[in-house]
Order: sequence, then C-alpha cells, then structure tokens
Amino acid sequence: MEDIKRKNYKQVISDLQASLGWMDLVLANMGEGILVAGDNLKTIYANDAIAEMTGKSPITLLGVPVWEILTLSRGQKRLEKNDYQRVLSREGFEPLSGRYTLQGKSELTVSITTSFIPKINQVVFIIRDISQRRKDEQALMDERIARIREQIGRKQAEDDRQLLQSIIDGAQTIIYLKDAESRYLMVNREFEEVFGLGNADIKGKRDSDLFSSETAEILHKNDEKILHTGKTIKSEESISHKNGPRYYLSVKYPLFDLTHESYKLCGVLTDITGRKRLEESKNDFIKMVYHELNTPLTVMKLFLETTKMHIEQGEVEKSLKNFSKVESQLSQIATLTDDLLDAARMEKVELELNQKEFNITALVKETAEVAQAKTAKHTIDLRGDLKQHCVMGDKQRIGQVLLNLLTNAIKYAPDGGDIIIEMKADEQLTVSVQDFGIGISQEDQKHIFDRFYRGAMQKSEIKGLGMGLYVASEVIKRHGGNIQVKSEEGKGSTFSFTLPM
Amino acid sequence: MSRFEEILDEKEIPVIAAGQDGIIFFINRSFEDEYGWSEDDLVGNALTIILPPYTRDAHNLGFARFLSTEAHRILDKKISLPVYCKDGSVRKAAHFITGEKKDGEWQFAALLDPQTGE
Repeated sequence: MEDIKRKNYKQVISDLQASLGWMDLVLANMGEGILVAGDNLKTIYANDAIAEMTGKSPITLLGVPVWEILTLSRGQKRLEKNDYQRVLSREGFEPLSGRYTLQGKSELTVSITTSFIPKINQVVFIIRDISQRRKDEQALMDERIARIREQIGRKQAEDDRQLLQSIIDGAQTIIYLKDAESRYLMVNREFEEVFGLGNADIKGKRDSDLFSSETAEILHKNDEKILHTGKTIKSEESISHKNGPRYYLSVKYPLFDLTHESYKLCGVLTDITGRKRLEESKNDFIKMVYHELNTPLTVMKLFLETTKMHIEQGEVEKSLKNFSKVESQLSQIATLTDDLLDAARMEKVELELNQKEFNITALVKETAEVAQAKTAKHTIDLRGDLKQHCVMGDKQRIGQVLLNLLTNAIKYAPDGGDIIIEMKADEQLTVSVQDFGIGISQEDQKHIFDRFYRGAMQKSEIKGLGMGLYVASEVIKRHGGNIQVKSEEGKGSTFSFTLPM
Repeated sequence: MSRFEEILDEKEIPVIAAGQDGIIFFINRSFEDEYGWSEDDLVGNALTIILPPYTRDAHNLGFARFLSTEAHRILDKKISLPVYCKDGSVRKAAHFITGEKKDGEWQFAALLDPQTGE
C-alpha cells in the first residue's frame, strides 16, 4: 500500500512537473513581461521578457520588491513604493493598469495590467512593451500631421496665388510673371483680353511658343538682362493688334528670393495709346491753330494795306467795305479764341453753368433759324414732338451745342440737302440733328468727342479745331445728359443729345 | 569518478543531492554544520525546503522546464543563490550544480559554498 502511494505520489509530481515545464516554457518565451509578486510585493517570478526590459537576469530579481524593478512613471509622476502598495490595499485589490514609461535598460512605453490571486496573496503584473506600437502610432500621427500640414500649406499657397491673381486681375494694365527661364507662370485678365491667352494657355511656355516673332521679341526683350543685373528696365513699345498698333509703357523688374537672387521677373505693360494719340492730336492742333489764326490775319493785313491805299486815294466807300471784311475776319478769330477758352475751361472743370428752366422747343426753333440763315444750300427741317417743353439748364450753352451740331451738319454735307432736327420727349428730352453728308468712319466715331480730334477731317478741306464736339459733349454731360453719334460713311450722320426733364 | 560522484564525495564544502522528483536524498556533514539542517530534517523532503520562500515558485518552474526540455541555464557553472537556513535566516552561497541520469532518471548534486559577508 505504501509502495502504491509512493508510486502514485511520484506520478503526480511527474505530471505536475510536466505541466510546470511547458508553462515555464510559455512564460519564458512570451513577448509580455510577467512578474509575480508575493508577500510584501517581493518578486517571486519574473520571465525573460522582464529581464529583457529591465536588463537584469530573472534570478537576481527574485526577492526584490516590485517597485525597485518596475521604475514606472506617467508624465512627470514616478510611481513610488506607496503607489505599488496600494495595489494590495487594506480595502482590497486596486489594480494598477494603464500606459506608463518604464525606465529599464532603455526607456520603454509599456501597458500594464495587474491580477490578484487572493488564495495565495500574489499579484501578477503583465507588462506589454508597446514602444513599437507607440512609435508606429506616433509615426502614423506624424504622417497625418505632415499630410494635414501639406494640405494646409498647399491651400495657403493656393489662397496666396488666388489673392495675387485677384490683385493683378483688378489692374488695368497687362501684367505677367515669368520664371528665370523666361517661361510664363501667371498672367492677368488684361493680358488675356489683349492677347487672347489665359493662364491655362501660357503656363510653362515661352514668348516664342505663343506669339508672332515681332510680339515675342518685344515681350522677351531684356529678360536675360533684367535677371542678370537685377535692375528694372522701362521702355516704350508698340504692339500690333487687329485694330492697329497700340503703344505701351513696358516696365520689367526682377523678383528676388530670400538669398537676394533674382529668380522671376514681372512685366507690366501700360497702354499709353490714348496718351500718344493725344500728344499727336495736340501737335496737329497747334499746327491747326496756327493755320486758323494765320489765315484771317494774312487776309486782314492785305485788306488793311488796300484800305490804307484807298484812304490815301480818298476812296471812302471802298475803305468801309474793306473794314467790314476785316471785321468779319476778326469775328472768326474771336470765335476761335472763344472755342479755345471753352476747351481750357473744360480741362480745368471751370465751366460754370447758369442753370434755369427754359423753353427748349423755342431754343431749338431759334437756333434752327440762325443756322438756316448761314446756308442757302441746305434746308433745316424740324420734326417730332414740337410741343412747348421746358428743361432745367444753361440755355446759352445748350444753344451753343445745338448750333455746333447744325454748323457741323452744314459743314459735312457740303453739297447741301436736308438737315433734320427731331425732338422727342418721354422720360427725357432727346434732340437729334441728321445730315445726309459724307458721314464718319467707325474708327472716327469712337473718338469723335475726344479733345482735338478731327480724324479723317484733318486731311479734308473742312476747317475746324476739333474742339466743338468735345465742348458739346462736356456741356451735355454736365447737364446730366449724354450725346452720341450714328453714322455711315457716304450716307450722313445723326448726332443726338439727351437732357433730363 | 564522475563529477556527480566527486561532489557527493566532498567533505569540506556543503553538499546536497536530490532526485528528479525534487526529493532530497543526501546532505553531507558540512551542509548540516553550515546551514543548521539535519539529515532527518531534509532527506525525503522537497528541495524547496532549503530555498527562501520567494524563490520556490521560480525554482519549481525552472526545475520542471529542465525536466521537460533538458535545456539548462544553471548546471555546471558557478552561480550565487540564496539558501534558507533552519533558523529562518537566508544566506548567499556560491552554487555549483551538476546533474546525471541514472536508470533513466535525473539526479542532481550541488556544492553550496557559503559566501562570506552575505
């Protein structure tokens, strides 16, 4: 019986040893650190993973209090003896769990769970090294942050580009931006309108890819020099367009990077065609004024010499006739100087209007009679709504406008014929003057109300300073109305103006 | 004479021997003198009796693992381990443990040379 007991006892031990054997093998090879603490939280078992984490052999850890092995901290707080002792508090088991930093062989991020075995009063600490997971999480987080930053950066860059585009689009000048290789980066709306090429068409292309050789040469001119010298270059350029050449003031300047190297260049083309034309018109005007003044003066000089001769010879009647002719020439000069004065006043916004309510129908009729008196070849006909209408304005100036239109109608229909004045009254009063003369070209119609402009008339025999319509247009505008022309070459013109009622 | 037999023959240094069931079958006089245990106290008892309580579980696990795998970490080399004395004190001793298979069963013999100042 004793032998049987002994045999069974040996078998039990052997079975237990077999179980413990594989259990230890499993524990030894686990990735998680297993630390079992007994009385007073002294270590009674630590597996190989704990040894790996702490850098100490498992045997040397036996009997060592757990707080001396697991130097844990969370944030700035390090777990002290008391914190571990709370695990086995008088009230019961208080698990220690969560994410900590373990200061062992190296600093590790660990996740800890604790289990209590009440029967034998032991605590099992399971410690998982999550440093890699943490690193992976951090890497993932960093990647996300980097992606978000990149998106923000890209959005910021796009916002900046949009802002810049809006700024340059608002400019009334042509603006373009090129890189150091003279490839287009950005252009504004004015560029697109003038050249018919927008940002989508020009990006990365050079002038030679986009324009005729003549235009390309102008747009490319000085690019290398500007980037090389870092200096601004101004020049006047003429670029051909379908409606003829236009003149530009070209300003090109380099843009510098943080190291003060020029790496881009900006070009601004300001259309100065109008200014150029005005300058040309002024020159023509001076010549015209000279001619217009010189002619009556020469005539007057001739008449005065003849008169002197007539007086010396006692021919009073002939002298008086000559005086009358001199007077007529003086009157021409006076009209000329009045026009000049008016133009100068318009320029300085000095023209004063003596505004009163007056009968416009009566004024139209009176002015028509004055104009009719000047010509025998033309018939001035009044049509439309000829009721007695009153408007607020400067009667004398409006009369001057109407007379100017009628004089022009007479002048530009040199072969004579009908001149029709038509009145319309609805929300505003419209007076139009129609002739059947030589008409005005489409191009001249665009500038007909410009100061000094005479257009094709300059080359004709018809006299004038090109001031009348400018003055008329200014007078009407200052009354709150507008003036316009419709004309066809060879068929005549209709000038009409409106006045508020 | 095998290393196992040499250890059992040692007179000066404390010696203890156990079978693979962990039961002590031999101690020498020096062991009795040094650690206070008598032959009657130990022979027929579990080896864990001379181990401080906090090392017993680890010993059982390690011992069982050796029997299962026959892979060892502490045999045939000198290591410092605590010894639990009869009076309840714990002393450090330089252990030299060796093992030998006899009739298919392991037997272990160890020199437990007390470390002074421990």
